Order: sequence, then structure tokens, then C-alpha cells
Amino acid sequence: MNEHESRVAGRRFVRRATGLATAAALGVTALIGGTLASELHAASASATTSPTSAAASSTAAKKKKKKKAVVKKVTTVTSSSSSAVATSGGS
Amino acid sequence: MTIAATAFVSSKADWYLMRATGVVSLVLLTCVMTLGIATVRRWRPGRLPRFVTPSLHRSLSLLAVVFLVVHIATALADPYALVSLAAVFVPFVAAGSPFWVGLGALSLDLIAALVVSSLLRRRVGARAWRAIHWAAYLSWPLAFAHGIGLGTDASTLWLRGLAAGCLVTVLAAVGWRVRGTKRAKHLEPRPAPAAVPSRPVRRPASAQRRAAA
Repeated sequence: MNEHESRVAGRRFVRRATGLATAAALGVTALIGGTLASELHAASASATTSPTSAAASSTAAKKKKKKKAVVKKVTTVTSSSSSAVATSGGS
Repeated sequence: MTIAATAFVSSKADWYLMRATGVVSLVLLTCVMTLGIATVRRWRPGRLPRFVTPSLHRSLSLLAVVFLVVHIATALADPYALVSLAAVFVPFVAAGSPFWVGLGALSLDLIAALVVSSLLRRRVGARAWRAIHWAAYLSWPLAFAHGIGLGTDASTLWLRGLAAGCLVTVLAAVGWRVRGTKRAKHLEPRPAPAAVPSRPVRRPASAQRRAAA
């Protein structure tokens, strides 16, 4: 390898190494930034979903209770009416 | 433009970018420091010419400065960082964590001096440039302490590992340089004693004739 070729190879090496370092730096920045953002997002999401889910579950339980109560009422009403019908029919 | 900037700040993207560019800047400064020491030691990768190491040192220095500028710009833009423009350059005047931000400001001032003196190397002179370049040995530890002391992620394992890697690299490079300097001093040619009589050099006859003519 003569001097000219060696110089050209050296310049090419510098260019490639600089390009690689730039790409690596940008990639690492994106990776770190993305990881930090996703971590914080996940933490905030779990913090906000837990009360919401609790509220949702309590609402669902209330609804269930209400439904149960309505069903009970309906059954008592139907049973009382049927008994009334039976007594009237009997008389 | 203003809407985009507001959206950027409100999405906390500047906060993540500031932290990420800070870490990458530290890694790049470590590479720059190591390559600078390799330049002094006249090391070269493989059979490539010797100018490769200083050229890489220069290119990576500029890259580190670019990342540093982004780091500072995002710190200024972020409302939670509490960093004013004065705190960027003047040490220990920041509203939040003045000591650790001050170390970063000191490091930045030294880096700015290094960059400006390198750009004006011909005007400054080699001796002054070299004297200012010694500041790099102070600038890197200040940047390292700023990152470890102030960094939000300083307690995380990945950042500790990265910082340990940077520290070991720089310490090894400095040790390599110190060992090289000691060896160079040891191998320095001693001045020849003046009292030793030198034998007269006998010239060939043709040379004597040429001198006479």
C-alpha cells in the first residue's frame, strides 16, 4: 500500500467511524429516552388505573346489588300476587 | 413553531431528551478523552496512518458538543429543571441543586475554552493551546460528578454500570499516558559529557578537493 492509498484508507476509516458513532449516539439517545418515557408512562398508568378500576368495581358491585334487590322485589311481588290470586280463586 | 415547542414541552419529551443526551454526552466525552490520550501516545488503529486518531478525536469532540448543546437546550426548555441561562455558564447560581448544576456549568466552561482554543489554535499558539488542553483532565471528572450527583437515574443499575465503565476507561487511559510519560523520560538521551575529546573526521580525498575549490 503506497502513501496515497494509505491516506485514502485512513480518511475512509475516519468517515465511517464518525458515522457509526453518530448513529450509535442517536440510537442510544432514542433508546434511553424511549425506555424512560415508557417506564414513567407505565408507572403513571398503573397509578391512575388502580383508583379507576376500584371505582369501576365498586360501581359494578353496586349495580349487581341493585339488580339482586330488583329481582328479589319482583319475586316477592309475583309470589304475593300469585298467592292473592290463589286465595281469590279459592273463595 | 410555538405550538410545536409547547406541545414538545407539555409532552415531557424535553425531560426524557435531556436525560438521554446527558448520558450520551458523558459516553462521548469519555471516548474523546481516551482518543486524546491515544493521540498523545501516538497510537493508531492497525496499519492506518497516524492522522486517523487525531481526526477521530476532533470529529467525536464536535459530536459531543452537539449532544451537549441539545442537553443544555432541553434543560433550559424544561420548566421542572429550574435552570436559567445564567446558571448554564455561571457556576453555583441555579435555583435547584446549585452545587451539582454548578459542576456541570464549570465543566461546560472548560469545554468551551477547549473548543474555542482548538478552533483558534494558530492564533493562540501551540504552548497556550496545550496549556488550555490540560483543562480536559478537570472537565471530565466535573461532568462525571454532575451526571452522578444530579442525574435522576443515578440510582438505577444501568446508569451505575455505564458510569463505572466510563470511569474505568478514563482511568486506564490516564494510567497508560502516565506510564508512557515515565518511560519517555527514562529513555530520554542524556547530554553527552563536554570534556570528551572528539576525533577529527577524516574526509575522503574527493571531498577535500571539493572543499578547497
